[in-house]
Amino acid sequence: MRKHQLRIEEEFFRILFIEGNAYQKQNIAKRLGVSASYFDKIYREVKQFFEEMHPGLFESHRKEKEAYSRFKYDAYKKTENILVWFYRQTRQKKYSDEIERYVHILKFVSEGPKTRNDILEELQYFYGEIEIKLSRYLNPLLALKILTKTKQKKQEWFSLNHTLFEVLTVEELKELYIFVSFAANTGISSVPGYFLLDTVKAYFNHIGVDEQLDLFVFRDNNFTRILDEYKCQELKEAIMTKRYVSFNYFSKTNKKRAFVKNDAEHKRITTIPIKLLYDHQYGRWYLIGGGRNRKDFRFYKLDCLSDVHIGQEKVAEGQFVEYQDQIEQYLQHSWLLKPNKLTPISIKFHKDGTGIELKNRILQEKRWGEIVEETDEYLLFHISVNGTSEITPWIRSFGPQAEVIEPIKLRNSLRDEWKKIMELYGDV
Amino acid sequence: MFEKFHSYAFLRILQSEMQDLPEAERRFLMPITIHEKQWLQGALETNPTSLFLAEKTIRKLKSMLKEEIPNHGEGEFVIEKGKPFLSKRDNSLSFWTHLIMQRQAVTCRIAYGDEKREVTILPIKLEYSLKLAEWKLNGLEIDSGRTSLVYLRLDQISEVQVCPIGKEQYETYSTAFYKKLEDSLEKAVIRLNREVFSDHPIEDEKLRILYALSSFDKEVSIDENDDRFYEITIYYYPQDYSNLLSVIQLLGIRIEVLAPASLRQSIKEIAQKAFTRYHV
Repeated sequence: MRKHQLRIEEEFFRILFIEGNAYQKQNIAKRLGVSASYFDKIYREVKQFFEEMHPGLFESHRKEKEAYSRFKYDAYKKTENILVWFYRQTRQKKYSDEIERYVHILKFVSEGPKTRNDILEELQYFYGEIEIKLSRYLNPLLALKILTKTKQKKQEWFSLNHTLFEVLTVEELKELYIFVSFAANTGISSVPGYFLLDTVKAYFNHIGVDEQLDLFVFRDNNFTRILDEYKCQELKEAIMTKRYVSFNYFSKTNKKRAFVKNDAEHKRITTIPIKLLYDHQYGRWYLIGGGRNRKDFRFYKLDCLSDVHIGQEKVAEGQFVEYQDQIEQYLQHSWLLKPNKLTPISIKFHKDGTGIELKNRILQEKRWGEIVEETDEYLLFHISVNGTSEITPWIRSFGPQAEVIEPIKLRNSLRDEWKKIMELYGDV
Repeated sequence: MFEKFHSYAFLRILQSEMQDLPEAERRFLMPITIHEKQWLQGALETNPTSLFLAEKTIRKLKSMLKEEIPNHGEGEFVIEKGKPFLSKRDNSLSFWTHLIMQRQAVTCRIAYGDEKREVTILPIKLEYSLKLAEWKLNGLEIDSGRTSLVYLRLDQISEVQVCPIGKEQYETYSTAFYKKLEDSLEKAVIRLNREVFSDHPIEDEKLRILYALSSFDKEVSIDENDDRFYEITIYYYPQDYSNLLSVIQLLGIRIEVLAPASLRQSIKEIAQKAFTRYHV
């Protein structure tokens, strides 16, 4: 049930964030495969949260008698990734008693090491008979390393694990906050980083630090990458334990995507999980999965993938290693994902008065390519890449500053495309 | 199971319990989970730590984290395509972060090309471009009663001297910064080029366009009877213009800019210039 709800919220956020308000409320419900009333419940929760926590971000409109909403996101006003909410919220009513007991244990143990009996007596004193076994409370706290357990005189003693707040001074914590803010926003798999940021911030609120700490604006940040992170965690586990995984998948040729409920309409795929791939150009996650018998592999977009299940069956070590080597070779010269004949490309980048900026950009984005010649007027760049289709948008993004010299076929196709664009804008 | 510990509910209940504790005890109670510690361990290995953290802080963190389960580096599981190289330049970064935290202004010399002049600036935000791995300073020029937005690479600023300002003055300037920023917001409208998508499985193409624009605030309108009719309104600040232009060029013939006329004109000129380059 929780997985299903997560999937609905994931798609809802994707629609809001990636697709703007392309769909009206009732159409989003239809698209998510849920009833209007069920969607309305989720919608109200999301809206209420954002109105409380981030006023002004969740914008509701009425258009042609139908309500629609969108995130009005301004990186200058909000440095944090608001989509972390997706991982942060639980059904509070359902868990509040349980959470209260966890916090009570922490507070009690913070006084000094306690035995199992001490903790049980403390809980019973406050709450009467507790409804589940004490170990059900202690085990998660131990697994998360919030508590540690030691044995002394045949007794188990529980104490709080060291926290950053014990080790670092307030000034050092401020440095840490700024570092974490940078690392979480510029790296991938960063949800725990955003959690850490919230924890440090909560601590600062308590001790009354009133300095300005949200210092950064991150340009070109693909915030939505975190919506697929929970699937990445499951898939990483499958890769680590070398087990087959299965999942629902809808193909890219499917005209209507992202139906959550009608799983029967999706293809159920079982594959050997070999690697995850993150494409920084478009901000998308992929799973590279290998076939059981055939010696080939496929790329699965994580935003098209749902209901991941890690099987019991293990992949033969040899087969796994063979796939990893194969993929390494395959991707060595691919701009993104596609295989093809290795094609040498030569590009003349015209400086046009922007020498430093142009060179900096090329140096940042060149991958394994090299600047082989530089004059006052241009930079000559060489790269060998699998086919030309994936690198073409990057070349085009430089506009008239990039001129393909070789191969002639790519040169001609870019010339033709610029001509078409010129014609498209003919009557500006 | 662990979702409860990362939930806002947990954080809220913890905070309310902390209210009763003396400050010295509060720091013992803020739990950091294994997930956060492992993430931090990885982040310390892969980021330019010296730009943000003092050596002593790094030592303390590493010593604390070494007792944890070793972090499996992302590289074992993840291939990153198109990852920009992290910049280790801009050593003045920690100076600027402290200045913004303390809400102080500076007098300095700034350089735009050949032009150099002395100004007083209130720095408000440090902007980092993930594509270019480059830092820029956003702030307000506050000389002689006039205020204007400034947007500079850190290496364009020199001879910096701190110029303390009062809390009230800071609030006034900070409000002026955001007001000016809001006033400078512009919008562009683009649509899918229906000629290109006439017989295409359009859904994935459409998504790719939206993903390419994912770092912009935008509104989309769609004709639900015809998926090809897709208009996107993009909101951007003037400093985003070259980035927007770059994305529009990247998308090429797949989209058409409808407004503003000046952007249409720019795209036309870019196309003419690019075509001429290939036509000689």
